[in-house]
Amino acid sequence: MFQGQRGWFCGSVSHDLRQFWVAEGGTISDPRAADFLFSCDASHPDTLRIYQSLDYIEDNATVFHAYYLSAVANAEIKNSVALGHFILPPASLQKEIRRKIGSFIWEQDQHFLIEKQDEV
Amino acid sequence: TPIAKNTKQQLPVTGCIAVGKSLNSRNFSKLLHCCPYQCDRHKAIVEAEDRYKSELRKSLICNKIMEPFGKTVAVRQQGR
Ligand SMILES: [Zn+2]
Repeated sequence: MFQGQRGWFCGSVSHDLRQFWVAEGGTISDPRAADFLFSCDASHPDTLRIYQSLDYIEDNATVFHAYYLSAVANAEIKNSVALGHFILPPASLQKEIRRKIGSFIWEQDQHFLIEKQDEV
Repeated sequence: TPIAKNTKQQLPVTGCIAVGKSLNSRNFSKLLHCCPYQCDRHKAIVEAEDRYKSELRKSLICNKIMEPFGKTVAVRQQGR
């Protein structure tokens, strides 16, 4: 699924998710060279550095919540998961965005990302 | 997820629906910006991030101008 793709991982991302990335053919790289930037915590210093980078300011760097990877792992059709649902905006913006749209997809989806779903 | 059909020409449709390996952290933001249709969700995120970025941009330029105080004005943005 991620063959030939380079991914950067914030320190906030669990080992399991990185491992999944690698198992699916992805490689781990530094943030400048990465095709994908993954984080689980917008206020982690690693991720803050991305938000302050020129790449980010110039619309060349979108940070995605690493739960994208667990959604992929749990999806029946792996490439059916829409990456766009997993944008992780800077922490200082999250509150106001939430006020407009409710919780983020990665917050809502957690129950079904954890492949349990015993009730609806 | 329903598949929205856009007339060809207009790239991969909305940020919600577009899937596949062509999308990544490098092209996503630009793609979203030229999306003909954005859902409320993406609109809210894009607006907030754009504001954040323009504030940051301003403060960067400001610092640049202040630093060699005098008449030198920063020429950034096109350095690459
Ligand atoms: Zn959308």
